[in-house]
Amino acid sequence: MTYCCLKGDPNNHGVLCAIFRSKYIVADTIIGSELIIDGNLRLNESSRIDGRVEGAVDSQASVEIGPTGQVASDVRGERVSVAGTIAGNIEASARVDLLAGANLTGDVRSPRFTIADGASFRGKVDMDVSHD
Amino acid sequence: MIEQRSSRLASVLGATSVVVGNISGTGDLEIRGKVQGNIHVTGRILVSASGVILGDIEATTLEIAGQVRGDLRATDGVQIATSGQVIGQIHAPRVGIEAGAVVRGQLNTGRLEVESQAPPQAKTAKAKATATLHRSQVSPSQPNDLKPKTPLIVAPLALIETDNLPALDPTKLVQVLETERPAPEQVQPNDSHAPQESASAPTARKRRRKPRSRSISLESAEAAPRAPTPTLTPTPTPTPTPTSKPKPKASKAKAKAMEEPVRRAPIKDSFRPRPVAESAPRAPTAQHTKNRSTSSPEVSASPPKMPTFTKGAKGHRRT
Repeated sequence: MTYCCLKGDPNNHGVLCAIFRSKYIVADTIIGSELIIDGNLRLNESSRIDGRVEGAVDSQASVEIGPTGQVASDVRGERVSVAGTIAGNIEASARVDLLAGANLTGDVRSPRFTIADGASFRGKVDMDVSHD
Repeated sequence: MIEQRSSRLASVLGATSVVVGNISGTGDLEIRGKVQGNIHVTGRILVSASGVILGDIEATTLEIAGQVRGDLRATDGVQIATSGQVIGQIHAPRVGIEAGAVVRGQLNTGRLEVESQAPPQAKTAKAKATATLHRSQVSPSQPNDLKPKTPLIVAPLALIETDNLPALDPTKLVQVLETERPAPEQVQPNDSHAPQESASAPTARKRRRKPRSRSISLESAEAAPRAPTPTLTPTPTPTPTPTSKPKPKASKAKAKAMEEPVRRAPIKDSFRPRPVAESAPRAPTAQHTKNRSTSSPEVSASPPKMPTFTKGAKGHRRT
C-alpha cells in the first residue's frame, strides 16, 4: 500500500516522507482509492488519482493516475502518467507516460509519449502538437 | 501512527481544485478547493478555510472551517470552526460551533435515528404512529412513503441566526416543527406541557433564540430520545375527537388526534405566508429525498430545496 502526503503539509510529514520516500506520493490533490467523483475535476496543481472520476480531469499541472485510479473521460494536464485505467483521450502539454498495468482506450496527444512494458493501449497518437 | 496519518489524509482536494459533480465513497476527505455538488462519504470530512461547498454534505464526522451552502448531516458530529460559514440545515448528534462562525439555518442535535437505540417493540409502534400522522398531513403531491423515514425523535430544536439576513424559509421551519413535534409532547409526563409548547413555538421561532435556550436544548439532547419509549403506547392521553380514518391500532389514532388540532391552528394562522399546498411540501421533499433514497422517480423530480443556490448541472445527474 502506498501512502500519500501533501506538499507543504502543516502536520509535517517531511520526516515520514523521508523515511518512506519510495512509498509516498507528493501531490496537492489526492483522490483516494475509495472515493468516487461523479463529475468533472478541474485543477491548477499536481494531482494523484487513485479513485474513480466519472467525468473529465482538466489540470494545468501534472496528473498521476494510480494503479487503482479510473477516469471515465478525457484527461488533460501538463504531464500525465497513467498506471490505472482511462477511457478517454489524453492531452498533455509536456508528456504522457503509460506505466506498467495502465489501460488506455483513447487517443493521446502530447509531444512526448512513452509506453511501458505491460501497458495496454488502444487509440491514436498525435505527437505533432505544434500544428495547432 | 502511519496508518492513522495516511487514512486521515486519504483524499485531498487541493486549493485550486474545482469539482463539479457529486462525490461519494469511503475514507476521509479534506476539501481545500471548491465543490459544486453533493458529498456523501463514510468517514471524516474536513472543509478547510479555503474550501467552498455548494451542496449537501453527509459524513460520519464533519469539520467545517470553510464555506458551505447546503445541508450538513453527520452521524457522529459536526464541528464548525471560527472561520466556518454554514448556510443550511445541520443534522448531527453533536454539534459544536466556535465563536465567530457564521451559521444560518436550522440546527438539529441529538440522535438522528431512533432505530438503533429504541427497543424493537416500542420502535415499531412509534414508527407506525408517526407514519399515520405524517400521512394525514402530507398533501397528495408528496410521496407518502418518504415521510415515515423522517427522524422521529430529534432533540429539541435550536435556531441560531448570526446574521439578520432573511435566508430562512419560514415554511421550512413550520414543516420541521410539525414533523418533529410529536416526540417531545409524548415524552412529557404531564399533559400541561403539550399545548403550552405548541402555543409558544411560533414566538420562539420568530425572535432570535437566546443562548440560554440553545444550551438547554443541547443538554437535553442526550436525555430526550430515550424517554418516550415506555410512555408511548400505554399512556392514556386525552383524545379530543378521533377525526382520523379508522386505524388498526388505537395508538395511531390517538397520536394523530392529539397532534392535529393542537398544532395546525396556530402555525397556520400566524406563520404561513403562502398557501400550504404550495409551500409546505417543498422543504421536506427535497430534504428527505436527497438524503434517504435517491432512486425513486419522484425524487429526481422534486424541486431543489434552496432556491437561492443553483446546483451544478451534474448535481442531480446520478440516479
